[in-house]
Amino acid sequence: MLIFASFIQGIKNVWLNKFLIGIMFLFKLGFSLILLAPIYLMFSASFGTNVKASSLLKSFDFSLLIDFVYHWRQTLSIYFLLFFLVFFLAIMVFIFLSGGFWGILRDQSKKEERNLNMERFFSYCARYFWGMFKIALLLIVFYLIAFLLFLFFLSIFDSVAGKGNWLDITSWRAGVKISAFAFLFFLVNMIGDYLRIFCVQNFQERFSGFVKRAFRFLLTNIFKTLSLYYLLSFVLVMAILIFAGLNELMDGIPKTFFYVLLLFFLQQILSLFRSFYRLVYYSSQMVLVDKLLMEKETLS
Amino acid sequence: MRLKITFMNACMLVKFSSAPKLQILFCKLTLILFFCFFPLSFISLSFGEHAPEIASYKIEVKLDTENKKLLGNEILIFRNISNKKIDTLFLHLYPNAFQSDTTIFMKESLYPDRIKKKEKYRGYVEIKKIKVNSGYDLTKEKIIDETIMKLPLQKPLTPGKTISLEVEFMVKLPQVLARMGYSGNTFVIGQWFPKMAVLEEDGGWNAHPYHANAEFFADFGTYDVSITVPLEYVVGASGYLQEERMNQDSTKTLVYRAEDVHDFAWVADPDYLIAERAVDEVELVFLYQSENKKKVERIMDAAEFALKYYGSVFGEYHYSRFVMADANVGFGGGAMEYPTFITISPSKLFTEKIKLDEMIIFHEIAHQWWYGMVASNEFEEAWLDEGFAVYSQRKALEERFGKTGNLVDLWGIEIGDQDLAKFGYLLDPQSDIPVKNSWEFQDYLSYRANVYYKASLFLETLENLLGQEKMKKLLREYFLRYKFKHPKTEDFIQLVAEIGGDDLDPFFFQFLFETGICDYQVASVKSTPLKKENEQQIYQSEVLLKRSGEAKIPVEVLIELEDGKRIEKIWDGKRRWYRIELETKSRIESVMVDPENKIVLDIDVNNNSLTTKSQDSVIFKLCSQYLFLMQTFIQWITSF
Repeated sequence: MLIFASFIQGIKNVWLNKFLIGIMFLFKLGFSLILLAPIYLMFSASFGTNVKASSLLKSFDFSLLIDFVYHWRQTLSIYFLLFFLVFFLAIMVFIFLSGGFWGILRDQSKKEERNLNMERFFSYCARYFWGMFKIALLLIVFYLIAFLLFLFFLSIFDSVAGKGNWLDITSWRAGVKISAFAFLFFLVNMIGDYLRIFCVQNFQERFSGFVKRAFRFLLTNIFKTLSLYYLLSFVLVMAILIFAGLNELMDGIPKTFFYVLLLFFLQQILSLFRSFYRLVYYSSQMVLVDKLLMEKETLS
Repeated sequence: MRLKITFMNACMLVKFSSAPKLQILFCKLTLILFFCFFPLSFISLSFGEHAPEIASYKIEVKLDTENKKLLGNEILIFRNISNKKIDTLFLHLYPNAFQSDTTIFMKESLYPDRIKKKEKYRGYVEIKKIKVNSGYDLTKEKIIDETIMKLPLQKPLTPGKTISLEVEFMVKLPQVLARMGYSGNTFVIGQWFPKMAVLEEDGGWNAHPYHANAEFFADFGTYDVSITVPLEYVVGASGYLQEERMNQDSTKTLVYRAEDVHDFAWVADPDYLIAERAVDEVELVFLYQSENKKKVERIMDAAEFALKYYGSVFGEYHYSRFVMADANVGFGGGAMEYPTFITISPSKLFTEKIKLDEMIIFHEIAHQWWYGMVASNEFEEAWLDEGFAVYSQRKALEERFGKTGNLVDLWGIEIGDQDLAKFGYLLDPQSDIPVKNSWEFQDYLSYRANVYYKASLFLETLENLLGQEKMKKLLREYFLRYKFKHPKTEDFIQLVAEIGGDDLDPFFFQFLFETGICDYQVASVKSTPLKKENEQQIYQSEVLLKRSGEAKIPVEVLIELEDGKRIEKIWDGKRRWYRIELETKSRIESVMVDPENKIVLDIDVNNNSLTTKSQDSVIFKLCSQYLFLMQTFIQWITSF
């Protein structure tokens, strides 16, 4: 019940701060547009006045796309550098923005309603940037540890269950390996969220102090935190499946401009939803922390 | 006329793991059947067209599964078909390619050094004794240079005469690196015995070392091979099983005979299961691992289709047996062609929507025609078998699964075999020409791009220029004329000239013997109002076409006007550019060079057309998809 209540309250808290969804969506859109601009110019030059390009409306005509890649191969090699640069920049900007997201959601969770949202948002961005950055660095270490643990698991699993064919992704062996991989990596992802919660809630404290608090909290409430994480993930997977189903349904529509427009709107709605839902992850976990800590205080 | 010994062969393949009494009964039954059918097999020999017997072998080999060794005795009968006396014989010792990490093969191969240096990948052949005509001992005279053995003869061999060599040898098998070796309990035995090099008509030897890129070249003959393996092993091999006998030492000996072939390969594995099917007069056998049980029908269907299709298009499959073996053994053992026998590596990853299993089967079976029966020189002109096999596999895929999406048809993504070939060609279109020695290519990428893909696209273009019917006639004639022979590129060109006309010579020259690329483009289109004629507006229209590549082929040009009228022109492509000036009653709507995409070797089809109506919907679709992809990526990378 606590888990479900946290989830619902998390949604409400995000809804009360809708501008956060806008910022999250615009952040993704902005960087995507930067990456799209050079590709748009290449697409226009190759397909804009190409009679045969109309086949691309129906499907991904590889005979055209292969020649496109060959024609632009030198430009594309530079584009890939830009690609990585923009991705790095996007990560840094997101670390900066995440201080704002978590800070506003903390206020909402604590019912500390204040005005001048944008001003508050960016002040939180600046205030928490260094903490968020250190958490990101720490998470890189955790991901490496998770990867090593995964390799360790693989060596044990292979010696017990046999190696099998590595190409055979449909076998039960592959299923176990993929599940183990997903579990470890999502666990680190979840740890990251709780570190950020304790970072914004204990801002005055030293880095090691709130990291210890976060781990203590996680260890004492591991089943609750995991349950909420899996509930959130389950809903997200359902949403993505619904999108995939709609996409499949749309295949029956004649491939005209109307179809393209409809598909565009559908994709952008999903992107908007995922921006909203990322915040629901943050918000719900924050509500859970507050509820559990309050429960503990009441008991003591 | 050919007769098959289907039932007997089927019995021979049964895995002997049941009770000894049953085994004895089975042996008796097979022996009875053997003696009943053996005379009939001779009847089969006396009719029909046969290959010239130049190099024939009688080999007795024992597989030592513990020590990973082959112990063999070989009697080689070789006929001097040249017009000169020869005083030296050349034999291939292919297993020596794996004797160290410094052999030609190892140095050229792309395996990482850490693999090359590992002891388990070491393999070699040791020649213990060689006698000539059961008398003179040549053991000490032999000169071995890695994978080539030179034998100076005491007495020259005159034209038309035969010589018999008795060779005792031992092969240390490596863990499979390329075509030969073991992996677990699976033994893949290809290029394993001392094998005669090819003697040319002028008395010269065609004896190249084993190179990483090159495959093989040998003369036809008859192979009688007795293979002794532990009792529980299931064997698949080239040719027909003649006899199976149990030995005292818990082994069994299987006697195979392969006629009209130029190689003999086999596999052995205790876990093989057997599937069989009759395809017209051919017995189709598939040795598979239990993990691929669900794929058996699909694989058998593909093989049946290929045998029938190639048989109907190129000419009849000469043999009455065809064996496929599941050889998913890692490095290089996976898919390979041998006469009447191929190895394949089915994968569960390749679902019904990803037809790579079919592609591999169609490719290797095509080699039964282009390598097996029409035995071109794979060392020096690999395009004649690999290019032909890729082209043939494409035709089979198109016939079975349609022109588009015949390889991948998944989530709205359709990839055809021709797309894959074009992609492979574009990886390195200009470093080498297709017709050259396999080891002289810049690297493996260039070898693959030119020998496999450019060659197959060249044949596709040839088909588009000649027409489907003429192309079929050409390939059929090529097969019939050069069956059991060693045709060269000039033989094929000569045949094309006979069937398609001499005017294709420049086409061959540009694509097979030059590295130039083909790229036509529509550079600009203009329509300006000129005057009025009887109240009708007349336009001065101008089209500028350009040739960016070096290759010059006559090309069709299609001009479409806004009023729906179509104007067709032919440009000989000789100059770098071509201007078409027209007076039209309507503006030009679009211009296309090569509108039917006949020249599939054109490296950029996107510049082959120009339209005055811009394709906004297409650009919007591509951009919106890309935008969504980027949004998803950014969402993903910032979620950790």
